[in-house]
Amino acid sequence: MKLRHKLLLGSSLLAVLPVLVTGGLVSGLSTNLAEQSLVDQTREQLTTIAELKGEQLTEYFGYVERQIRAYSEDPELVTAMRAMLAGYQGMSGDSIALNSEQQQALGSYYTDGFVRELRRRGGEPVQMDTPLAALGDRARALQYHYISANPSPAGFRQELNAAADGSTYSEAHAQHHPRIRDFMESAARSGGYEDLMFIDADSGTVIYSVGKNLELGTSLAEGPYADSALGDVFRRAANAPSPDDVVFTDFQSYLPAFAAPSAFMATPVHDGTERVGVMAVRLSDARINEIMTSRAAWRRVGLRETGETYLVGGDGTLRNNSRFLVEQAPDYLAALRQAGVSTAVVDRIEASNNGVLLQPVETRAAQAALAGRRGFAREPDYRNEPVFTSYAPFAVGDVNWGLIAQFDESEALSPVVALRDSVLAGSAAVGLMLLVLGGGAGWLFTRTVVRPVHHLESTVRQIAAGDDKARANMTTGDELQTLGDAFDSLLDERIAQYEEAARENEHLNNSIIDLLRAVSQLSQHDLTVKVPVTEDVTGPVADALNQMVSEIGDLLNDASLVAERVGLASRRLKLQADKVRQMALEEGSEVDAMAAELDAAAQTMAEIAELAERCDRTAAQASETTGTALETVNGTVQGMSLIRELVHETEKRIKRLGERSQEISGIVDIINTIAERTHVLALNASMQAAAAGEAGRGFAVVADEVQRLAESSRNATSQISGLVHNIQVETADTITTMGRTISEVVEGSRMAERAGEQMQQTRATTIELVAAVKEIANGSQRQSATSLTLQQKAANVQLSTQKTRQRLEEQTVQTKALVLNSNNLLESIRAFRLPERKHNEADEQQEPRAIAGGNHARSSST
Amino acid sequence: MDLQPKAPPSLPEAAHEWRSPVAALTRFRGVTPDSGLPLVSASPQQAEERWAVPVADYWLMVAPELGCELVEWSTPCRIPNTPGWMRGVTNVRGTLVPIFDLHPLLAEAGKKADGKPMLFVLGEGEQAGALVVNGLPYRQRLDSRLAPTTPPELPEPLAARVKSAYRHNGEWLLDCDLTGALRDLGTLAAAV
Repeated sequence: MKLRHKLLLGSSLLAVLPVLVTGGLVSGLSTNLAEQSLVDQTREQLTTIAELKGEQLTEYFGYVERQIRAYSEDPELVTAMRAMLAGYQGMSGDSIALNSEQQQALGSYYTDGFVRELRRRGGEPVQMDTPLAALGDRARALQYHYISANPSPAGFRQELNAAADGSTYSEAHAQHHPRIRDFMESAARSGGYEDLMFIDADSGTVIYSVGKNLELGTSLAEGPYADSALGDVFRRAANAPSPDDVVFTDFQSYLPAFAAPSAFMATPVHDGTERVGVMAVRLSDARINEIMTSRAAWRRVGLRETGETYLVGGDGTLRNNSRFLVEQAPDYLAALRQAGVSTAVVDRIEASNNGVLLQPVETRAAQAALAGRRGFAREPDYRNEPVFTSYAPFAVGDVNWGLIAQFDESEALSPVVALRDSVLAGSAAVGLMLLVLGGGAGWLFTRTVVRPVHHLESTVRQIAAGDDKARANMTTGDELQTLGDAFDSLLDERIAQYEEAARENEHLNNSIIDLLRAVSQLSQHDLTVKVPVTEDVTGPVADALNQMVSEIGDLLNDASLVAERVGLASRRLKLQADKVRQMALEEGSEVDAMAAELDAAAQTMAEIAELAERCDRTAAQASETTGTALETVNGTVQGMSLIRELVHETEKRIKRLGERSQEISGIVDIINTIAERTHVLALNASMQAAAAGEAGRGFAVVADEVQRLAESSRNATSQISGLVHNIQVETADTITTMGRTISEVVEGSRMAERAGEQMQQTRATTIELVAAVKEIANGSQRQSATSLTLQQKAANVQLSTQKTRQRLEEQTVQTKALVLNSNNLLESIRAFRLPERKHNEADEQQEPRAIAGGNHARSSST
Repeated sequence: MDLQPKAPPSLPEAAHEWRSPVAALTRFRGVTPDSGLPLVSASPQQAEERWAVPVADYWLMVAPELGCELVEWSTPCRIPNTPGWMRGVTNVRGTLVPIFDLHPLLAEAGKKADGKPMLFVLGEGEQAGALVVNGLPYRQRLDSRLAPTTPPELPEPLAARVKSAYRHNGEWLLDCDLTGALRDLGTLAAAV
């Protein structure tokens, strides 16, 4: 930058800088004041909104808790739970067994229908084979009839009143399900219920659910969903000390409901002092979303364009959807990606259009709220956007959440930015005007300073162009004239010194030319040249050069001798390398053959290991089958014992029947005796009547009738006696038969017990066989692994051999190159014209040692 | 239930005075009599009837007007120095009654009596005597179906007391003066 420009710039800056500094200070102060005011206003607003949302959440959860507690005390619900439990426990035996077609339909639902619906709802694919295999017979029957064979799709399965399987469970279901369904559907809108379940307190089995999802019939104590949020809430409710306790679990991804975010509330159900079971309800995130998003009316509640409220769970994820996902989904998802959220999570949020349990919130405000603190902060949010945040803790039972209300900083401070921009614009206008005025004054001042400087500059340019006579001769009378005079004196002195140096330089050039000619001859490999030595500064150089040439000549003579010996050694080395390479080739062939044999051995061992593993599985299956057979035999033994007891009881009863028939026989004898005596009495009466003549005529009639009746009685008693006799005979036969039956049963029981003992021995033998086969399988696997290791090591040896071969090949090449280089070296040395070598007998004797040690040979030759 | 008495069945004129017990008890509607029971009283011609008493291989027939009685067997009190068919005496309602056993006289030698033994008492008071019978007596009508026949050989004094003999269904029916026979036997026993 020229002096004129500097002066002009300086004067302008002096005019503008105060204005700019003043404007900046005013702008900064006003901005800070305005910003502080806006921050205070935002704090108050966000804190109020957060407290309002907290009150709404408290009211909602209190309402749900009161409703669940009241419904659990409903006598009709207790009756329904008892009926369902009795119906469930009555499901046993062949009546609930599914045929192969039904089993296939249930399996198809698990592996196809459920997984397809799960994928459609944005869930990650899961393997459903394990949950299917964990189902018991009752669970399979319930899930087939109420889920797989349900004519209504998922979400509408509650429309089925009862399955047509004819079970007592379905009877109870048909009686109570419509009323429970009506209650849940009426309460779902206000309570946010998705499902209602009955759980047996003893076994933890889900015996009933309104919505019929995959937890139906499974045990929450040890089933596939024991570790879910439902299992947790069941255990806590079952162990609750008071019937009025209502427990709550946080939202989790719940697989039976297609991995939907679900929270659970549960309470024990009592009938008087008896605990009947546990009632649990599943809550969706919809109601919480409505509260926290104000039903998508953020502006109406004062959250303007960028404000929102949300809950953060203990796992650091959202419990309700972000406003930006609802209003600006593409920008929101892009912001998440830029903020470092994993692509998989963002994709799942986009697929499900739901960020609950997915969107991570790891801000300091969320961590402070989860730690139980409340406050206000200014920091980046989960999108990495700077925001103002009001945070506070929120607790539901034992579950702690963080309640966050926030505004984007850009929106909150937009008035401050506008104020700052206006102040800066005014300052800029004033500065520009002062810049014009200051620039004109500076231009006038610069002219008086710059003119003498330009004259001095012109003088220097003339001297530089070769005009040694040019001088400044300044007449300004100020410091610039003193500077011009000093400049002229300096020029006079420097020009005189320059002419003297030119003469000395020409003489030196001549000496150097002579020196270069000698060096040129040396460069033609003629080391016999002598450089002329002069008296100037090049003389020592020429002398040193001659000395160096003499030394190099001697050194090259020695090098020639060494090169000859190196060439000889290289050729010997090449022969040796050729032999080694041949041996390496042969060794490589052997190693290849060994590796091939090891491959075959490893393959054989792998087949043996696989065979042993199949044997292991077969033996385990045999052990399991033997166990089942043993259980069957034990059941048979118990059945035979029961039959034996029943037969004993029957025999006792038949004996008592025989005793009764004996008593009947005695009574019949008495009746017979009475009849006989009556007959005799009648006869006597007839005789007396006959003896009385006409007076006894009427009495004779009565006597005749009594006699006939006595005769009929005798006949009847005779028939009864015959019948009783037949009964006694048949009873005796029956007792004999029963005795034989008991003997047969005892013998059968003994045989069944023997079969059980033999089955037990077979089972023990099978277990030993399984252990032995497993040991064989393990040994085979170890041996197979060892073979693989050996195979790997052989491969390593093979690789090493190949590398060795390659190295030898390279060594051979290098040896050839060494021979060639030694020849080239010898030829190169011989290209020099050297002074005569001093050849004597001592050198000849030193030659062998020179091969072994070059330094010593050189010193000897020297 | 309608308990109005039903019209009695048409009965013979002779039975209008007396209704049999069976007819009297079954005269109400809904009750039917046993077909084996008589609806009318016995015939008044009992004078042609006899009591047939089983003794050994014979049925001894006695006139009904004699006054007789059947008594359970009780071991009699033997009378010393009397024949074997004189079994002794027994107490029948305060009266000592001699007991005669005709089985040794009428049965084949060595043949034991069948059935339960009973006493058939004839007469009253001091004139009574008892006969050992092997069964219950029955009333036998003497009508045209019974034709008299030559009586079998019987020991005395019974043979003299037989008025007529009948053969019916392979059995001997002997119409005899049994009171006189017992009196003869008593005399005979006293003479021993």
